Amino acid sequence: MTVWNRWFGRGPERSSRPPTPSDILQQKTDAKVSGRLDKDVRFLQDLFGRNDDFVIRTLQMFDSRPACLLYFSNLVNRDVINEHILKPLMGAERPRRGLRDARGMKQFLAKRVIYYGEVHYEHRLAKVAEALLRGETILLVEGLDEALHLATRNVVERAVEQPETEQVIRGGRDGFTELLATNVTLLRYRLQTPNFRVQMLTIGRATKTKVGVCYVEGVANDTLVQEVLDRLQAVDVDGVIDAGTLEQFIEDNHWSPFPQIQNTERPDKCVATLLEGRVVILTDGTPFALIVPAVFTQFYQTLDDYTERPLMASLIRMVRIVALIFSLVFPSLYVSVIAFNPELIPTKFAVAVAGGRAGVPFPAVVEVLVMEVTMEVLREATLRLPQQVGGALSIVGVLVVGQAAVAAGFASPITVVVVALTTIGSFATPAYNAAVALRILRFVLTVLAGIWGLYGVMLGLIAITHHMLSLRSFGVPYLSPIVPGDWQGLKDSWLRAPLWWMPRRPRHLFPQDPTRLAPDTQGVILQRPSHPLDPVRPRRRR
Amino acid sequence: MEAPRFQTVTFLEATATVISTIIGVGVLALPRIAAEAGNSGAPLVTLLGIVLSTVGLVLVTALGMRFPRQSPVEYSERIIGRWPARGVSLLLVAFFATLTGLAAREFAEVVVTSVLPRTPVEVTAIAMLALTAWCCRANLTTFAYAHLFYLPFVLAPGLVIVALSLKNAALLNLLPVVGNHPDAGAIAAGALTVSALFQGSFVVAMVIPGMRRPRRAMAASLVGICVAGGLYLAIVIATVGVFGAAATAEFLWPTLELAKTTLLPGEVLERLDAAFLMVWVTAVFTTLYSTYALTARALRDLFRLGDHSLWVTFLLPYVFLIALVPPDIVRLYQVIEWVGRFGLWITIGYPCLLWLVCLLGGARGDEPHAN
Amino acid sequence: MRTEAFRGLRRVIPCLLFILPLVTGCWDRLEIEQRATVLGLAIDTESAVAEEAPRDVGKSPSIDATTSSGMDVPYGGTLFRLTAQIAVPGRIPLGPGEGGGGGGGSRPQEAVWVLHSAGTTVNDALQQLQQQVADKLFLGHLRILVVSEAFARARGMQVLTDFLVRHPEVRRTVWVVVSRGRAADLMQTAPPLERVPTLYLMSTLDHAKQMGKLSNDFFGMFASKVVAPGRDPVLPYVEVMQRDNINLTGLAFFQGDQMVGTTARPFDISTYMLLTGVRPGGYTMMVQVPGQADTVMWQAYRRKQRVDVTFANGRPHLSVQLHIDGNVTEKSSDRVNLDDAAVIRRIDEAVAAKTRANIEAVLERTRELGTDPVGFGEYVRAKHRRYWDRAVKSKDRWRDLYPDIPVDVRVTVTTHRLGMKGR
Repeated sequence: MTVWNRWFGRGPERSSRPPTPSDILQQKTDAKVSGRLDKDVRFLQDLFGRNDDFVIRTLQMFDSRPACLLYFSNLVNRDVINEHILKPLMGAERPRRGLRDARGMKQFLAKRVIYYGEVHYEHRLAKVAEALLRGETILLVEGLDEALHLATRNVVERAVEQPETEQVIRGGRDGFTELLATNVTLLRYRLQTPNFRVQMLTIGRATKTKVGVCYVEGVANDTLVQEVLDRLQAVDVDGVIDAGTLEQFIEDNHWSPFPQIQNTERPDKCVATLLEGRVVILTDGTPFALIVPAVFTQFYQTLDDYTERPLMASLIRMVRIVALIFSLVFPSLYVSVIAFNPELIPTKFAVAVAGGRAGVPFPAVVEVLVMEVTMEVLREATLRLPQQVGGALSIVGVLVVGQAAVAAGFASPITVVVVALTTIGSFATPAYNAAVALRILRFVLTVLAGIWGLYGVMLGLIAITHHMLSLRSFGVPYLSPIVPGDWQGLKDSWLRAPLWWMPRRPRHLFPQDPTRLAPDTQGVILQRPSHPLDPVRPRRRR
Repeated sequence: MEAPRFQTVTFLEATATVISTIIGVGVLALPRIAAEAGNSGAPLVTLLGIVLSTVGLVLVTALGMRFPRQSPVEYSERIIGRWPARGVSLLLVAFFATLTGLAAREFAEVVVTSVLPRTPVEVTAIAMLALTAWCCRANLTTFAYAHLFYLPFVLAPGLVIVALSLKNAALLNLLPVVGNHPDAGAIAAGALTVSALFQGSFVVAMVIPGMRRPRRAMAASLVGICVAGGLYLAIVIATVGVFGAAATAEFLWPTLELAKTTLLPGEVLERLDAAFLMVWVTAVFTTLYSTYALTARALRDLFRLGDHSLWVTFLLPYVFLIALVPPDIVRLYQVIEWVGRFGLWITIGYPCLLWLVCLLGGARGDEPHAN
Repeated sequence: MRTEAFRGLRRVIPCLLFILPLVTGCWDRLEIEQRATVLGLAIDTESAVAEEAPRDVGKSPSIDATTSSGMDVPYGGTLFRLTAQIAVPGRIPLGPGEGGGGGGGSRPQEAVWVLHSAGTTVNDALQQLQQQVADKLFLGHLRILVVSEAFARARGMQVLTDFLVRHPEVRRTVWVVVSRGRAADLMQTAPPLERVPTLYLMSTLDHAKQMGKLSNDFFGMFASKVVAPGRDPVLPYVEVMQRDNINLTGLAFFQGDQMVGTTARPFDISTYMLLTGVRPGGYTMMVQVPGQADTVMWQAYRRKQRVDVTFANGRPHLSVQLHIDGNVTEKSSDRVNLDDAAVIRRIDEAVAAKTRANIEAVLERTRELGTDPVGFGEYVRAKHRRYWDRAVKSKDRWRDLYPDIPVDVRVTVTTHRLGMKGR
């Protein structure tokens, strides 16, 4: 390391730059509020004075005593400050019995003067500075060795809207927003059990991002919760921008193409997974919640699978699985059959396919790869474009480019069909990140098919499945409940069994309380239903 | 890292491991071997082979259950003393490494002959071996998971082929049951060769120490060999039933011919052979996976050195070289037959010896570790 | 920390280095349009070619005595001539009905390309054929192989069977048929129903099989029967009618792989199928109603067969029991009263008698030819092992014995239905 540094001049150079505010704070972590107003204000002024939105409002309380209100004007609710803080402070009469000591003064201010709910006291200046940055208003009073924090934060908030990435046909229309508080509200509103726990952590040296670890006590396994907390606490980074960055710090296998943590925008989905015994991680500033642990089956399941009746849900789920497999192997199978084993397809069709390909100058592998890349480019372009333009482009892209490619003799019509079907298939996978994983692997398989035909595809598939079998998400085997086999879990894997038939929580999560359905409920449901309005046996009174 | 051995393998996983390990590339040539030995008595020859290997498997399993937390390398040292046991264990390692190499070569020959004629056989073999080695670094839990997961893909092609070809089969081809011109010597030799195809089942010795309830190992072994043996028997019956014993003996890989002759109803695919062969890659993979993992773990136990994945890497060149030794397909099959017959001493004879010494000396596994 | 994170990558790099050399070669990749898909092959004796030679438009490349394998003196004596039908990519459009309304517009010859070559073995001839074709010949879609009767009688099928079984591309379900005249003519027929003549020929045979008019004697069956100790193979026997039309004339009988004769008439296919126990039946026979001059047409739809071997004085004695279920499909005059159960019974008897006569005729022919296509020998081998192992042992010996073994035939018949008419 040292040699490297010497050669490349990467020495630990400590230049004599002027100390930044955070340097000052780090040096003076235990500076206290002194009680002398001018000194304390100067300290904060030195820290934040260069910001134009930093407001220092001096005032005289009870006619005489000097005080100071400090806040960032863009972070606070100014009406609240004017109406409920400034006005009472300046208008309050001096109490009859004199305020002899600081303690009496503090009590009086909090109990009689300020019309505000959340008031805290702090005597360390460093914490005061942090509170200012959070958007709180600080009240410093001459002679008082503690500062009053008033939680006046006002951040622009988006309304609760329908989640963009996870549309359902039947189910709640509310999605998470950026604010952690709102998201916890949405969860608490649906989960009114005293066992619901939200444990707050702050991660990120600069961003101080609040992270809420939610679980249902008595359901989620203790060791799982502890592991999640441990992994989160180990993260020491300057900033957590999104739940996605957090995900990358706590996942098990960083080099796997498969996502090992699920994300969702839907509170109802979160509640469902919480009740299964999973842990949900909410991050301030992002509408995505992380769900751990995640197994592969979760990535092709949607809320609709549970809100619709089992038969229909199972069918639709199977369609999705077919689409998923399709999007993984279809191009590689096409390449192998065309270029290696044309004897597999019916003779008439084979002759026709040969005719379709006759003018194409490239081998099938190249043709498929080029078309696939084109499709990916189109997809990515459509994603980034403004919505109004995007629709038009995708139609232009798919229809015109495909047609033109065939007409120009660049691709054979069947290739276009194969590529189109594959792409559509990959859109049928509900989880975007799982779909991307399969898309990457599809390219690998196509290349393998170009080398060894079906043999290569098979080797690739074995490698992929073996990788999935060795993958763990917080210790849970990635392919559970299929392997290791779990009969209860299998009812909710390829198919979706009736809800009354699945009285247990997923066993692979080792929930503390494994049953979710009372045994007699199942009995009641399975009883012969009574027919109150049966026309054959009319009742006496209609 | 397997340092703390987790006991996670369930009954189902152990059974699946036995089944998918047994079912391998050998099934392609099996009907030929059986038909050459006993013409229309081929099913009988197969059955005898299955019975013989069941005896060996029962012995191995019984030994494993007697020493439920030890690998065969470890308990053999306790039974017959350190140095003799180490000698035989080294032989066992060499045998399974050779078996792995030969199986990879045999399948590579099948692939090269039937679907990839211009690809060098070395490339086809090394691709398979490299994949196996890459997978072998996984721990025993994943190993058992893999066998359970691939089980349907191992069983399905055989079952489909048998089911579809039964309409072409004629009972007449399977009579007389003992074959024309029955020759006890030839039938016995055939049975031995067939039995050699089941040697992968020795893997159960490696699985038992990882089983959650080793007491169910015997059931797993028996169910496993019944299913695998049943499928083998069904394939022999179907092949001889469709082609007749004389034609079966003429084909190099009669099972593949069966796939070639069979048509899927609805004619989605016009020919099944290439598709069949490709799904069969899974079956071959699981066999190689087991024998390779067995070799690497036995080496680790033998030298008490490091992690098994270390040995996996060291083994690869050796196994690959073995795969390249036989110069042509005729001598390949000769070598396979010799090695297989020799292996019977290790997979059946040696456990038999250990068991006898155990009975006489009364060594058990539940006492604390000897050294 | 750093080493932890890069461990994954460190593992991947050797793998990549390892895989890289393998990726460089795509040894077996050969696009479908770069393959010359051979749909049909025809094999004739060279003498047949010689007399036809003046009629050929192009110069036949093979008349020179040397073969492509460089052997000046071909082994096995004679050259034979190979005609291949190769699909021309692009002539057969993708998807239905793209070529415009007029079906007569595109002549079927355009979809395929017919080429000739010669050789002493199939590989030899194919190699010479390959010299004339740019793309690699691909036999994965070989659907039909026609052998001329002259060739099958003179050379036998050995050279063909070995090639077809050995070649990995060739499918076992390929039809091998024997043609009465020149086999090459079948490659040049132009049936109007199908763009590709070979596929038409193939569907003719496939449909005949489905309708119960042809036994399932595709190549795989032939190959198995050739080596089976107690039976001889048969192959479909066809001839070209006018020019665009082929006729399924009967079956070719073989002794081992040597053709020895044919059935006397097409109807004998049905008799052969009856004897071998093929259940569905499709042929219609004309029988005279006993005691009347009138006839009815009678069609079998289901057949059952049972062969028993008994021994008398240490000699085998074969007995065949047959039961046929069928319908009356036509009557020649109103004088036949189908309403009468007695008449039906008499028709049954007439059918049985006629069937027995047919069977006797076929069996007599096989005895003359010294071949056992029904596979009676298999029954003896399978059910009477000791006799076979002691007295028969080999296929040749069985052929010697077969003509002298008496065969009892018992036929029972049931008429079930009369069609839509009541009487």
